[in-house]
Amino acid sequence: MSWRPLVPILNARISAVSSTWFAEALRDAERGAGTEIFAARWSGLGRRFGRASVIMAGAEGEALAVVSGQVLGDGWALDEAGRAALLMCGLAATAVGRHLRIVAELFRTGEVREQRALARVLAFLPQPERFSEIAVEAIRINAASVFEGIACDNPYPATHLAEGAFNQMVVKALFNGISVARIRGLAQRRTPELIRMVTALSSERLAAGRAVPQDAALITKGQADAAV
Amino acid sequence: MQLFDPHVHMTSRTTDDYQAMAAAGIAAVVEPAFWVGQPRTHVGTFEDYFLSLLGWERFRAQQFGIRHFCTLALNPKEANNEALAAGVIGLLRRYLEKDGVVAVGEIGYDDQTEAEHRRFTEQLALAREFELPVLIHTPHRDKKRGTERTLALIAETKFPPELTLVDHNNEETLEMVLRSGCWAGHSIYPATKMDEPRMVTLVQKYGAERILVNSAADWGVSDPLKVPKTAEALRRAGVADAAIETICWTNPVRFFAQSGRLELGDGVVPPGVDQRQLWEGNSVLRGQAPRVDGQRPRDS
Repeated sequence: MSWRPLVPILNARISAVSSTWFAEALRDAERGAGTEIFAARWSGLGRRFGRASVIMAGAEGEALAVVSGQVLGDGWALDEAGRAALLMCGLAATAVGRHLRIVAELFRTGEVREQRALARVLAFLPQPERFSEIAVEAIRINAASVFEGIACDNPYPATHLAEGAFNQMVVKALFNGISVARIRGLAQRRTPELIRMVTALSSERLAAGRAVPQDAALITKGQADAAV
Repeated sequence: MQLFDPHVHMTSRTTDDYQAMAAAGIAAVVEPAFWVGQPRTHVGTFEDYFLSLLGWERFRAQQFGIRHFCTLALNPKEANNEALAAGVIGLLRRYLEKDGVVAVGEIGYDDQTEAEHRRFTEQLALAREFELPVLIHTPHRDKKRGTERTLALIAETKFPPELTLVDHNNEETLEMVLRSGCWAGHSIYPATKMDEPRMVTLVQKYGAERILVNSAADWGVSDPLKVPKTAEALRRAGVADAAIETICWTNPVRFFAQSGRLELGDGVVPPGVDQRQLWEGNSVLRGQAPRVDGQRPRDS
């Protein structure tokens, strides 16, 4: 139940009306995540929470789940952390065999904030390795907020993605001007194939008379260990 | 002066249009779900269309510093396809709850059939249930009668007129729409519907209260700059700036803000467009130089 301490942390940052709504939403979620009412709560949460950042103070986040140094919800937007708590509550009340189908359906029918929240919470869900196809879909999406949700400051890709998908993510980040220093665990995933792909991207840019992304050196010159 | 186009089908437009709209002062748009020029044959096509209005199109607009919102509905033309209609209404129950959906629309009459009437009535009930305003299309054939029937249905179902925007008005419909307490939209088109000089005359006669203008630009011959062009025509005709701002910004903001989902960010003065640091931290530049306010983008 390492998501439960997130509830008072969030309640301290949203209005009293939203807190009341959140309490009702969690009660609905305790009947499972595969219901119509759950889907409605999941969507309706965004405008009630807003997008301010959750910066946890001192010992505030101590009892929360931690994956590869990422504290659940710390540094996330309020709507992302709220949706994380709601989903973890709902899945805890749902047979494990149904989790993947439910999460995949939320992702398929999600608007961009919902998809971004899912990308961020995947690493914290039970048996997270089951959700790798959703992470791959998030990498394929062109809306940058969703791509950044999976690629940046997220322990999921380095822990659970196969080499091909992970490398595509790194090169897409470089391609789109997103700093690869924000990719967690990059140093451990710096393979000869990734170095080859990034070297090829650099060569293509030079041939076209364009600038090589500065971050490329983190991979090609082996400086990732220092940065990550 | 910043401008709002409260009815434009950006899915059909190019990034050149977005760039020109931003340069002309358009800071926010509402894209109503409508038909796509030819009939759809699967419910799933509607779902992907709704998803594009909630995802990709919103992101495309953000790249140019334009806030993009949408309205979702089964449109009146396709309400006549019984095989699809029930399925699309079913989808709405899931998608109307989403952020960025600021009304149910376009609903209303087109051929003024029984099927259209039934789906129009059902979707007024959905708007009540989801606490959303409605955006109503009025027919281009037999418009006056269609508008009378629209206002009669609003009165009969006791749907709040202040939550109702009746669109595509002309000289023969505006007075009755204003008298009903509903908001009145005008689609300014190159050749049909309404044009700038006629709109100037209407504003001079009826004022600015509850009056909106839009481009309704889509996949046909249309012009996504009709809101700025109308603002300019009003200015040249001597209409006060305050009245122009009421029509081209304040009225659409007040109407759609009733949804509780019109997030304009800093709102009154949106942050300058800087593609290096877009709101939500997005950046999808395909190798071109970022556009920063006041600079022309470099060709690449």
